[in-house]
Amino acid sequence: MRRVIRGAMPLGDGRRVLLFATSIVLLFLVAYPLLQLGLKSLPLSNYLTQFRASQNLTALQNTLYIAVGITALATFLGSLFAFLVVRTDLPLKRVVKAGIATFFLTPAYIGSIAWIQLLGRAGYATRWMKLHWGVARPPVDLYTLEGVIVIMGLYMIPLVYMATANVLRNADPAREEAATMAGASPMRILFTVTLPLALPGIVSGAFLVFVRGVAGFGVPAALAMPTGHLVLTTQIYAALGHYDVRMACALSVMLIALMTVGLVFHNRILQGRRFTQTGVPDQPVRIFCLGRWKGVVAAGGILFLILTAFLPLATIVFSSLLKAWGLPGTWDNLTWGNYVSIFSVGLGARALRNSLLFAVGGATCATLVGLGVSYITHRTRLFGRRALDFLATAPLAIPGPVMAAAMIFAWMNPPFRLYNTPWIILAAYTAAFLPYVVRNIGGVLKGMDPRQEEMGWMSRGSWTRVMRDIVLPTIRGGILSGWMLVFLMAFREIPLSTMLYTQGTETVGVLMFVLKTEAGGTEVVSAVAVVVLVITAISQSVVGRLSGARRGIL
Amino acid sequence: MKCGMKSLVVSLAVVAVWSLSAVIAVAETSEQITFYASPDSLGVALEAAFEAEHGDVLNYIGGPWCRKLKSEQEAGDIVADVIYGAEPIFYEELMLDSALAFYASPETSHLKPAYQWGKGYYTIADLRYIGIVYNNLLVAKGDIPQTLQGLNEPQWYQMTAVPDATQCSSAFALVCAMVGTELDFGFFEEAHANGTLLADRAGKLPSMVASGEAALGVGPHDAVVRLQNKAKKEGATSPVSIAWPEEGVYVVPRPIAIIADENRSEEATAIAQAFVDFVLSPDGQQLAVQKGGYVPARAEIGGPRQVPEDLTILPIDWDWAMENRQTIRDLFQETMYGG
Repeated sequence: MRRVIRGAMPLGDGRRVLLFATSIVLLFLVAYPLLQLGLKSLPLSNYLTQFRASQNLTALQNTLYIAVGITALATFLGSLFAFLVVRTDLPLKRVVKAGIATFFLTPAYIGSIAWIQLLGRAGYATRWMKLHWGVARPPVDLYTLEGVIVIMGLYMIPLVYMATANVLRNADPAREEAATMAGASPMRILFTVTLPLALPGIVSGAFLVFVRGVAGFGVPAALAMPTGHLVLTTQIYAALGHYDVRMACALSVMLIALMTVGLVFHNRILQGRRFTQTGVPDQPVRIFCLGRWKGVVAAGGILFLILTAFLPLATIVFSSLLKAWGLPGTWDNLTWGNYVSIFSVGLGARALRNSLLFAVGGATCATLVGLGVSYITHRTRLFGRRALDFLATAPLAIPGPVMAAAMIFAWMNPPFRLYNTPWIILAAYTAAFLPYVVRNIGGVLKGMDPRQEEMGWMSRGSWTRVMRDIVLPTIRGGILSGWMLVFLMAFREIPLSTMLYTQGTETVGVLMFVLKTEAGGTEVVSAVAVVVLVITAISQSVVGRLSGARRGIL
Repeated sequence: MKCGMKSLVVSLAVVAVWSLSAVIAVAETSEQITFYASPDSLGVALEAAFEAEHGDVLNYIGGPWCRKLKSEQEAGDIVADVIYGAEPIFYEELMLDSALAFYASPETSHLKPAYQWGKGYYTIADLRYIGIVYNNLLVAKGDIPQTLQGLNEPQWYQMTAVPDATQCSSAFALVCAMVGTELDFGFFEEAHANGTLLADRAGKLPSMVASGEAALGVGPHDAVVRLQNKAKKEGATSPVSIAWPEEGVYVVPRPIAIIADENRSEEATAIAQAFVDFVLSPDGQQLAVQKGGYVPARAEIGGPRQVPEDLTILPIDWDWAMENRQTIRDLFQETMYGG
């Protein structure tokens, strides 16, 4: 089969140009900063010191425990919800979608603030339970590794959901029809046909979650660190905290190693499998009937989402209206003042504008580069494609503050003087969020039937023509969700821009940082979070409209 | 559908071009100097006040500037000209790396005698007083501990917070002060056993107490002052207050310094020096009180009303802390990070 594809392709086509262009961009955006990071982690004695320190081994163990736990939780729930929404006759799908969208729109660090407000030592729910159940201590201890797993896992659900739903929507119905015709029961079809077909989506999503679990900082810092649980990222943060930049670099290289293990697993699982999908988007897919379980499943799913997605969101909205955090919620204590204060400082309006611009720019650049990388990885056998894939994935494993440091090392000195210009933030966003695009588009491309492309070659279409008329329309869903993901993450990102901004290029992240460290207090941070949520929700629907998608992004 | 894709691409391109043209209008002239400082409210106010007299000569950057500066130093070129904030050990390390320029400000002689140090490479500009931060909705007046040790009483099980010395340099300075030259981690061992929470930044601890996440803790006064001022502006009263341990209080000074740079023009050097003088002048010191909530280093300017004038101040051996910083950090992590 492969030989036929190669034979049918004209040599010297656009794909080599694409490979060349993408490589140059990746070398500049990712490889060069990573090289700088690697150089700073030398001498090798830094690594020895690291491994000899017993607390780093504990940190490594805890990190693995968290990453595996999060991956299991988010993969199970994410693929379950994707299946329920795309492939069953579940009622009230809109509510479920809204719940997933809420996870998607809430950054995990805001999520952890919300959960602490709700279930922390003085949380609203904790106080309620203490009062009504008569327990002396908080019935749920959020400040544990398990707390990190649950909270972080919840906010990772959309990563798996999106990747899985994309694949499930495009899966070739012919196979399931064939199985039905052969007399297989719906259960059997589900486990032997439908789920295996959805595997590329599930595995790409799970991989993203695993690496985020390894490299995630916000939630462990909020929930594990306060009670003295070590994880690798907080060790890195500690090293940065006492300005041991070299040790932070050495520890980060360890994170990249963990990610590489994940990537190898990911490729192993998907290797040698062929996944076929139709090229017809929005075609009818097989719908599984839930039968008499319909009501129970819907009620269970919605209750789960109310408790885990909507309730924390409501706490955030509520506390954003408080005059001072910690005050009881009487009418006297409520105010719009926090919202007014965001927009009354010059920084507020400027930060929102800049972030909007940087996020659009970053998402567009990352999508273009990511499209090139995924196409080369999944649709060609060009030499060097694995290296490209690795480079485009590596930023995922590097915690934001270290990434920012690497960017400073790379782009402060000639020949590339981007530091202290707006370009460095754009470049940082493109590099840091590239992996999300690559995984999203990759999942869809992997599932695309190569025969579709072959047809284009057969009818003597040029490479650009085949791309434009066949490949791009087929993977449109993956492109859009990748773009949206980057836009959202870039819009509310904190660690990169706080280290890289200069006067005039302040971002929402800088605003959040300032409010967090200032007297502003958590009520103002909550207000910024609500503003960010509203803006992202609006942009999500605008992009959905513009792209003409009937379903929106989710 | 293809039409939709096209309009999406076109609108993206338009926004992208607009975005870059809008943001690129930022440029720095050679007569400007860059200063890194925290907190933001103070940095912005200082910039405005200084520029009212000298024109647009300052470029203020806040955020996690200590980390930013260290990365710049590692990359071989510190962008900042003047830095203001953090704690003395940070400046001592920079001094050892020859990253600080010598400048003996004439204003130094007006500072409180106890804080006239820095060997001309840095000058103490303001002070953070460390006290017992408590939530007055959760802690009755009579129950407020009289000493720091009182935080470790069983009645405060899982209700206290201490700042994390491994994450924050101000917290580290505080821990150095508290363990003293005998390296006595007894307080922290007991606190850990009593289920205390670590605050990743010293300045964040009062917010944790305000929220009730902890009922009381060891923290700096300035964040309490800022929280109270903010609530007052809204016409409310913040639930967070500060009390002073009877054994005396630790004071962590915040320095200001000029970064060494051979290529800096004479003009820029003059601006940097004038700015340091301004921060130490009565006007600059007033801003430190009003916008930051700090106690000024200058003798004749009064601090915020939350800090009484007659507090007993406990001595801190900064040179010793500087020499033993790695040991203190390691012991703190061993004590507080159990698993």
